[in-house]
Amino acid sequence: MTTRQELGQRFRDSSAGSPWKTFVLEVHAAGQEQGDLLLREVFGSDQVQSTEDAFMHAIRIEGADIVVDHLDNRFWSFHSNARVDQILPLLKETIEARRDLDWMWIPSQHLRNVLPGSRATWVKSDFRGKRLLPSQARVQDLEVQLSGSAADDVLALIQGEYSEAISFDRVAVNAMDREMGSVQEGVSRQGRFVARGDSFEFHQELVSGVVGRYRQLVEMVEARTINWEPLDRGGMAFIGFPIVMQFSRPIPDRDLFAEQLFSCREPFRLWGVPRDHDDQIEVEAVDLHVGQRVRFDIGSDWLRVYIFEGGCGNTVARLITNLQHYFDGALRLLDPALQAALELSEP
Amino acid sequence: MATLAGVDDRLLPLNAFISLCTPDHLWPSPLAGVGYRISGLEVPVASGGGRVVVDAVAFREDANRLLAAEAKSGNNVDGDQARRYVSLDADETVRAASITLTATPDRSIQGVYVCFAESADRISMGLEGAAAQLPILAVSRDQIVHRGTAFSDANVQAEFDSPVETSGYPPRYITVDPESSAQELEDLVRAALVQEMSHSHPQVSVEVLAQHAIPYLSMYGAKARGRLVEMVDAAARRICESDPDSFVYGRRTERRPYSVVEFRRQPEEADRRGRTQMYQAVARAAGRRPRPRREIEGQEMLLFEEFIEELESTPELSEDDDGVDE
Repeated sequence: MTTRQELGQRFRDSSAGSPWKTFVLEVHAAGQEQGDLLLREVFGSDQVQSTEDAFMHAIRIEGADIVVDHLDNRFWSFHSNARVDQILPLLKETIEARRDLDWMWIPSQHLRNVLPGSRATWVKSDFRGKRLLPSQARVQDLEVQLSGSAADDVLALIQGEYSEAISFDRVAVNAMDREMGSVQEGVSRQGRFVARGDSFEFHQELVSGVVGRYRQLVEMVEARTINWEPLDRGGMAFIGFPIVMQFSRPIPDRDLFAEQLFSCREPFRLWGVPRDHDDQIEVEAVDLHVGQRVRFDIGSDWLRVYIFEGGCGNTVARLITNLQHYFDGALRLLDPALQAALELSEP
Repeated sequence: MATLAGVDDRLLPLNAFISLCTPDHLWPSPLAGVGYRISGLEVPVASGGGRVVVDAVAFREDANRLLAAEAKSGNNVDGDQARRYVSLDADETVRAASITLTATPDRSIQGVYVCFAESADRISMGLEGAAAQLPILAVSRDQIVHRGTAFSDANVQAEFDSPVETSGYPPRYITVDPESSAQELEDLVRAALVQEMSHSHPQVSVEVLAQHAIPYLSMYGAKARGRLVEMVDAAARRICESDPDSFVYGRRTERRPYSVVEFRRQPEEADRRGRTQMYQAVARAAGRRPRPRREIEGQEMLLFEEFIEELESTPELSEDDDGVDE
């Protein structure tokens, strides 16, 4: 039997051994019953066990015990204290093979603020521009790893001069609360948390905060999807509009940029045939992560992305996060409300 | 302006008007700034003893004002049509476009012609000849200029007192219409096929394909809709002929009154590398040029505290070796 109380005890016990992992997946399954069915379909009925809690299931994969908490209908937490190499490969394979599961794709600004008001004690920024930038680029690759109380400040110094090449990839914080206790928490940009401490509740609160901020961004994107509605007497109404990303500098080689973006390869996994149309590139694309149509226009220093009815906000979050990582750590969204949700400021 | 694919340039005036009312924060949207939003496209409205199909109806909710836009890709004005735009009744248009009135000011409507800048003189003469006093918005690559009759909404007039600067093309909401060619539909149809393929469907009917390729298909009347489905059919057939390794076209038969496209490739059943390569093959058949692969450095191990090390110890997504262009 597994209860939330027992999960908390196992979290505290893990302080002595392998640290606790919580991998958050974005899932498209409506309601508790469908969650149960989905888990059984994905991992096999014999590997999935119900628990006393209707929204928690225990699964066993590759000898590792995982507890799946799907109380949040959309963002499921996979908890385990097994080794990462026991659980991550299978989760990766599973996600790639399905259209209804995806990672979270946490933007750089959200990682920087995993615990608002608290400074990171360890930071890794990882910018890999070799795929989308020509060799003449000012900075093609930049990997920085810092620890200490001034880690964030040192990174800010670099950011002041080379903002395009700073992209938060992982951070760690020491979180302390008089009431709740303390946890050491590491977070990666794909929503993988590792933690150690004396408060599972505090760990969950931190995870929940990151998920909540991410959810807001994703749902705001979805509120802008282009939807067509037939009118009773003929004709059509529509709502929604495309989302525009403004880069901090011109795209140096747009052909290279488009070819790589639509190469069908990880991490973008976008299918499309870029077409030149005067001074912009236009692409009718498919997001292979979720099997949804997406349209792109690419200008000299901007990218316009159209998400259509039924499209997933994760498509845009994934694009933002990966473009920050592979092309421009300083990109902005031109929609002020979306930009505020991205940089966690007031619109 | 040359068109290689994507939005049919004939549709630029329509997309321009939609974009003037729909902020994407890159292309200017002064009508949205005043409060107008698109309420309907291709809306049939009774007017002047007949009916006019209004290309785009925009509604300003706080003032109950409507703009009815006729988007012209050519030089000619149909006199009867123009006079019907002049005679449009606001209440009839509210009903036709199913607009919800949340305020009580008197309703008003004004027609507006949107055309290319190079056609503006001819359109202006055409409207004069038809005794149709309507404002014109002339669209070029770098600006939108108001000509002719003033806008009755003073706020709109103020926005167009001087040219509205633009850069590049407006967003592409409407990419094809019944006057487009099958060739112009090919990229849309191919993307719809890949979408179906990514869901491991064994085949797709042309009707379903048309809905996916042109999500606003049902806004057109039956005849125009039928023509678009025929063009999707023709585009699907061409795609199948040009990429027989991926797609097979099945003509409609006595038993099956619709044509289908069957998928020869099932990328989702392949391993990671095979899957990527299959999708790439479909793109190559459509004319995508492979580029030499760039050398990407491998990942480095990082050292930190134990729990970070463990997270690092498992290779991340091997992002650079899951498929090759040639």
